[in-house]
Formats: sequence, C-alpha cells, structure tokens
Amino acid sequence: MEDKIRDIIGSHARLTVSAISLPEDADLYAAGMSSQASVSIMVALEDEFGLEFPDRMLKRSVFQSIASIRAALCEIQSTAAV
Amino acid sequence: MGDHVSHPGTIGLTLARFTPHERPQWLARSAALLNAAELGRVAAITDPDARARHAVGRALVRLIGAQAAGCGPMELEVAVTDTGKPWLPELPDLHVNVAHTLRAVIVATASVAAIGVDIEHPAAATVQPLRVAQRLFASDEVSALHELPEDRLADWFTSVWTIKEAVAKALGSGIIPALSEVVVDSGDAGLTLAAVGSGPPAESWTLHQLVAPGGSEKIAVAVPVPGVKLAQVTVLTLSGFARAASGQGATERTWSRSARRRASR
Repeated sequence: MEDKIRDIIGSHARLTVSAISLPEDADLYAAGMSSQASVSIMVALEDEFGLEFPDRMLKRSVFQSIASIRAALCEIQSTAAV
Repeated sequence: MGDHVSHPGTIGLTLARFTPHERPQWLARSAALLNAAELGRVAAITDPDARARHAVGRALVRLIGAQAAGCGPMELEVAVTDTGKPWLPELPDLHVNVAHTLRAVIVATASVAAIGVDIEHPAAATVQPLRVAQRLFASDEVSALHELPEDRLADWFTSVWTIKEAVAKALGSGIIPALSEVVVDSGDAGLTLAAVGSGPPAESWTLHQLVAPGGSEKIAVAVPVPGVKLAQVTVLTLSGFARAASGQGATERTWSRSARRRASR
C-alpha cells in the first residue's frame, strides 16, 4: 500500500523532492503540496484502491502525510470488510 | 502600501511575486518582520518556495495591518485561527486573507465582511481536472467542462477552483466540501456564482476574477456582500517591498483594467 501511495504522491503532489525518499510522517504541505494537489491525490487514491473517502475524512489533516493517508485508507478498508 | 485604508468600502489586493534568484532576499526581508511563533512556522516548511511565500504572506499582513493601525509592523498583534489563518484582533474592521501559488503571494483586504482570496497558476493545476470535477463538482459544472476543447480544460478548471476556494475561505469552511457546495455557472456572462451551499445566497456575494499582473496566475476574491468594488491591485517589487519593510514606503505599480479584460476573455 505504501508504495502505491508514494507513486500517487509522486504523480500528483508536484513536490520538488522525491516521494520515494519522503519520511512517512513528513508534512506534505510543508513539502510544498497545494490544496489542489491534495484533492488530486485523494481522487487518485480512490481510483487506485477502489474506495471512496467518506465526508468526515475530507479534511486537510487526512492528506497531511503518507502515514495519515495510509491510516485513513486502512480505516476505510476495514470498515468495508465488516 | 496601496490604498487599503483610504477606501474602506473596497477590496484591496496586494501581490508579490519572486524569482528563484530573489527568493532568499524576500525571505530575509519578510523574516525580519515576523515574531518567534511566526518564524517557527516558517522554519517548519521544508520546500524553499513554500517557505518563502508563507513568510512573505505573513509579512504583508503585518505591513498592511500596521499601515491601517498606524503602528510598526512588529507592534501589530496578529492572531491565527485553528486552521492557521492570520487575523488582526486590534483591527476588527480590517479582514485579511492570504493565498499563494508557486512563487506568487496575494493578500486581500476588506472592511465590510470576511474576505476570501485564491490564486492558482494554471501550470500547477491538477493533472486530472476532469476526474476531480466528476468526483466533486456539480453535474452542470461537469457538463460545462465536457463542452470545452482539451487545451482549455486546465484554464477553466483553474478559474473555477479559485472561485470555490475564495468562497470557502470567506466562509471559513474546508475546501473539499466547498468544491461540491459552491457551484459556478459558466454562462454567457462568464463564470458566476450559482450556489454557495450553507453560506449566504449566491446573489448576495461580490466576486471578482482577474489575471495576476505580469503573470498568468488566476485570482478570485469573494465577500458575502453585494456590490463591493475592487481597488487597484498593488504589485510589490522586491525593492518596493524592502522599502515598505524598512518603513520608507513602497514603490508600487497599480494595475486593474488591462488584466480584468484578460480575465474576462
């Protein structure tokens, strides 16, 4: 999952640093990610993982780091599996 | 520093744009105006352009607020909301909002109501505008997007995005919900507000759209009050900013008509 998240960040976040080398808790906004890029990442994640972020997750903090994105995806997948 | 004080009934816009070569000087001049907490936030930003534009935005808020308050920029109290947006407790009639893209920063001011501004460079637009619109925009907006030639998609998307984000910022709401709740009509009159979700009704808003002087960034500014005029845009050069920061006043170029014509095309 983390590799796919990094691939999507690399394609959509328009960062000047490599998404591969980013620490998982690095603040993506501090690394230069715009609000528009975060939304692009959100949609790409939904397409890649075949899920939809619920409204309560449509907030800045969910897309702040690789770790926060992974936690949100895991939560959505575990909820769907119940 | 512009005419934010002399025309309280208007919207004021101050634009700063830096080159990679000028970036260290903009950052240093800005940092000299910031307090320890602000400098801490600047230092936490790892991207050089993002760090500089954040610092410049905060410095501009101090300069504009200080001009209105009649004090030095370092003497001005600048508070931040829970989401990190600056506001001026000593100046309840001076609403400020900051936006940035790539290497451009804009600060909007209004006295009549909370104001929202957004600036976006088309080159920084999402790589999948149609997919984002399908997921989050209203069906009428997606239909309008489908009718556009491919080479106009990014331009249209950028303009519509700036409007939605400007309205969201004026309301103090999150951008992602606003992408669905704020609806933009692409009619013969250009882009206009069709719906604002839970905010004041669309017809009660003032919305201005323009292209940044000397560049191609799209700007939208919104206030939930009708008929508020846009004053001339103040464009700060590095030397003008340096003079303003040192208390010697700014050399500025003002602009409005030509870029508004470009924005309306």
